[in-house]
Amino acid sequence: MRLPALNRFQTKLVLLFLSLFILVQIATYVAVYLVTVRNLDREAIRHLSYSGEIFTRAMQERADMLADGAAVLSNDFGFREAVATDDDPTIISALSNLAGRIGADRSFLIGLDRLVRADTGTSAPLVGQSFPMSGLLDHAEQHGRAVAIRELDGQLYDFVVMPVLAPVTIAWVGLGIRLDDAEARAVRDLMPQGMEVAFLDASGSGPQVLASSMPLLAPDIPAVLPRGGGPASLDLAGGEYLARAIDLRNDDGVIGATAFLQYSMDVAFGPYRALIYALLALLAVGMAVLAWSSTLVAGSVSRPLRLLADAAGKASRGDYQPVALMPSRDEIGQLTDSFNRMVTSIEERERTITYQAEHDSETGLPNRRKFEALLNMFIETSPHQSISVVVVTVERVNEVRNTFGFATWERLIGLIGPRLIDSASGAGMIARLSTVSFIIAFPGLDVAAARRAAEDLRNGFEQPFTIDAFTIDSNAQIGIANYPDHASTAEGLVQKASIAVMQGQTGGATVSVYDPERDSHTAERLSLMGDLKKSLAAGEVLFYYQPKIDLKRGVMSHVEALVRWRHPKLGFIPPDEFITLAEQTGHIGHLTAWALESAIRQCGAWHEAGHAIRTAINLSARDLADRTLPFVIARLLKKYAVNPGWIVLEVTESAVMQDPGQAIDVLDELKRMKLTLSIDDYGTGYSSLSYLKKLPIDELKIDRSFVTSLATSAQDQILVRSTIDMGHSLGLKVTAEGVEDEASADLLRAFGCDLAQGYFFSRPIPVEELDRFIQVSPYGKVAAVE
Amino acid sequence: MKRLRRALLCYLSVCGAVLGQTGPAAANEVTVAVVDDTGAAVPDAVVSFTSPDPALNVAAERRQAIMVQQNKEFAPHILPVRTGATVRFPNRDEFRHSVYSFSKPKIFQFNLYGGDEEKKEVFDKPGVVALGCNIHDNMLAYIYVLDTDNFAQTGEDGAAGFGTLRPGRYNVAVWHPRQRAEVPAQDVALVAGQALTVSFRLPLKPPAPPRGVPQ
Repeated sequence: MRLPALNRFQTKLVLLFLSLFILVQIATYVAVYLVTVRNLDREAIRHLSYSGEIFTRAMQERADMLADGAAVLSNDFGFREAVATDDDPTIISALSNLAGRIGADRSFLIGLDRLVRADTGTSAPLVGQSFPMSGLLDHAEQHGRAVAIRELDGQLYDFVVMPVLAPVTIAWVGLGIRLDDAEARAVRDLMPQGMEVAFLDASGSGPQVLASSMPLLAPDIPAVLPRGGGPASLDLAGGEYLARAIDLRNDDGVIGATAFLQYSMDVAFGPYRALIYALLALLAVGMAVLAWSSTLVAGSVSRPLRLLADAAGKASRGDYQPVALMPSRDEIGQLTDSFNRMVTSIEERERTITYQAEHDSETGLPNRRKFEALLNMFIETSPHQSISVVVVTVERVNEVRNTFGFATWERLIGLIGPRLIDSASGAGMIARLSTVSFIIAFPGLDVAAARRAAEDLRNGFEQPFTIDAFTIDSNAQIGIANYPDHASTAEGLVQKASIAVMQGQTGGATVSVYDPERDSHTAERLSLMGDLKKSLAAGEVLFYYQPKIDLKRGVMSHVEALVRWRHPKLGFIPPDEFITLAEQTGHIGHLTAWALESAIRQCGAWHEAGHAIRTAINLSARDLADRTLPFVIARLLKKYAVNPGWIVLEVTESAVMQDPGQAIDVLDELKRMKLTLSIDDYGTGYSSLSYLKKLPIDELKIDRSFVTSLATSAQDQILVRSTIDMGHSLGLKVTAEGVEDEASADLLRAFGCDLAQGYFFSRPIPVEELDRFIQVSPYGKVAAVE
Repeated sequence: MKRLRRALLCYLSVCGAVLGQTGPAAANEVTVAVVDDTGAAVPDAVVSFTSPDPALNVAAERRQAIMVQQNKEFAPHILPVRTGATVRFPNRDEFRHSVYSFSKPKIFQFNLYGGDEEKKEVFDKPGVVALGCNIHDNMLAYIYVLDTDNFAQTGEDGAAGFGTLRPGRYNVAVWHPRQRAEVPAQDVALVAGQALTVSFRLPLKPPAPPRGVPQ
């Protein structure tokens, strides 16, 4: 079973490692970044302050350089002479010469009257005008020189003014260097990288950039200029800067211009960017390495787990495969060992459980479930092959248990299996169906062949079983069902074969093939039972009575009560059908209760009317298993004031044989109550005479199969005659049923048979007709109540 | 201020007492006091009395003057002279000087001259002549050429006394190299036997820094 990738342990482990790593890396990154940025800010402020000093010093040096130049000029004797003598051409020439020598852009000579006498290097000379920085002259007079930065004609100049002394002041000489972008860059170059310099005029009309080391930046500056304060953070042209402004105060006290220092944080960040990239690269490489290595590690852990999981999945489907892994001493190894031990022991246990589930513990034979599974498999693989299923119900087994105890019973059961196997030739498989039933499949056998095989099986039971000193006789009731004739599944075949066993019991055959005609186990018939109770209440179930004729006296001394069901839709339903059905479905109790009460009440009624008619009631095996039966009958006898001697209870041999111990107990009790007991259908069962002797019976009813053709069959005559003789010699009365002709009646009378019953005398008839029968029939004479 | 005035009055009374005892009877006691705009006494100011009557401006002994160059300095720093006076310029240093003047009343130049040389120059036009040395920039002196012999320099107390002035009408002027502006001369009449006190308030500039040492 393959888990989705995300749920896999390996994936989880890798994800865990990776996320931890990323978390740590991000933390490191953030920490580095924050520290860097803070350091940068601090560094930027330091740089700004430091750059301010550099800037001031640079400006000072420029002024000194200018002053030196001016001093040279003002101290030049020739120049002084020219000034003193008003030699203007010489003056201008000297000024130009000096300016050229020291790189000044402009030079002045100012007279004592403060009018400009000479002005070089400009298109708009100030000659004749008042010198615009009059205060500087005073300062220069006082201090030997004066320095100023001042805008002239839209350009910024660094001026120095010095007196011309001859030896007293006879004039002033002024020199100016233009502060242009190149100068700003030159100053900038002295400062830390990332620093930019701009010069702005300080006029009242708003600052205007006059020179800048970074021209593109220039237009933005005025708007954001932080005046007089400390460093301020600015966003200029998309970049981040830290900036400060320095007012450039001239020697005369006037603010000549403002210098603007701005430190590019981006540039400052430059060296750290490499660090950040390195960190990111480290993160990427680390992630790759970690992913790879943790996949390996996780794989080494999860592969055995996956194998174990797969093996566990297989084990859950019954495939017990131990996991083959390199032996290791770690937890995985221990788990694998434990798992393999577990799988092995589960497999063993399952085998045991399966065996137990499929086998019978007493005989070691497969059980029904297993049998059906195998049979179904066989049917599935060879659907066109005929299979016969034989159910063998061993009789008298339970009697052995009651007589000899469980241990002997178990040993007997244990002997039956091998006996069956010995006698079953061509058997495919054998299984135990229930306590006393076994089931055998004969593949390839049709019904006829199966019947022969079943005979062999039955013959196997002729040999008694020997346990210790005991010798136990047993016989078997055998039912056969065939695939595909009777059912198409194993379950159906087993059921049908079981039904065949019962059909054999009721039909008096030891071996019987399933007869669908006689199968009461159909759904339709089951639903019939639902109607039975209603019909009982509605009087739709009723008794017909068949006279029994006392052959010696020629009178009707008995009637047999025979139940009839006049179903409102189905019409008459034969008693064989619905009684068997009622027995099998548990409805027999109601029927028996009704039957006993009806018959006993009717018997009472007849005696009340002066007819001494004895009434015979049929009891089923189920009735005989009911220990309360004697009490029920005693209550009814009392209720209808019926003498027990007026009631005859007829039981079949097979009914007694189903549980002889119990049945005999009940019969003994009934006998003690002075009820007459009669064995019905005598001659069809297998009861031995010794059994017959044990039964507390008063009467034998010879089965109609021996009587019907009595007149024509010499053999039947012998059988019937000897049975009558035997009955009489046992002190029993003998009744013959199925008398259909006069000859038979005469023979029976001649044989000394006590009672006769049959169509020759009368069919079973309702109570009303019986009254007429009594009046009109030659056999309708009834003895009067004494 | 009050203390200064008191000191001045005290001085004048003492002077008067002394002069009254020792001076000739024809002489008049004339004192000129110069203070700056803070009221402090101004020493070294040149005070001159010039009369419309040329006779009154003459004093015979005032025709020669000397301006020494020593220790890279001129001495005296201020030299008032009568018009037409000859000023000698002896170099008492071991090295050479090159004294010059670009002042209008007297433009001249003594090219390098050594210690054994002495230069002379006649100052024939009234006015201030600033002297410099082309070798030593710090050397500075003034020759103040006047059309009268009646001049004197104030002392430390800012006062100058005149004991030989004859009575008459005079124009009193005062000059100092550091004066901020010219102060108008005062017309006075000196009457025989009468003492005369003339006061000037002369605003001064601060002293100029030494040359060649810019600040």
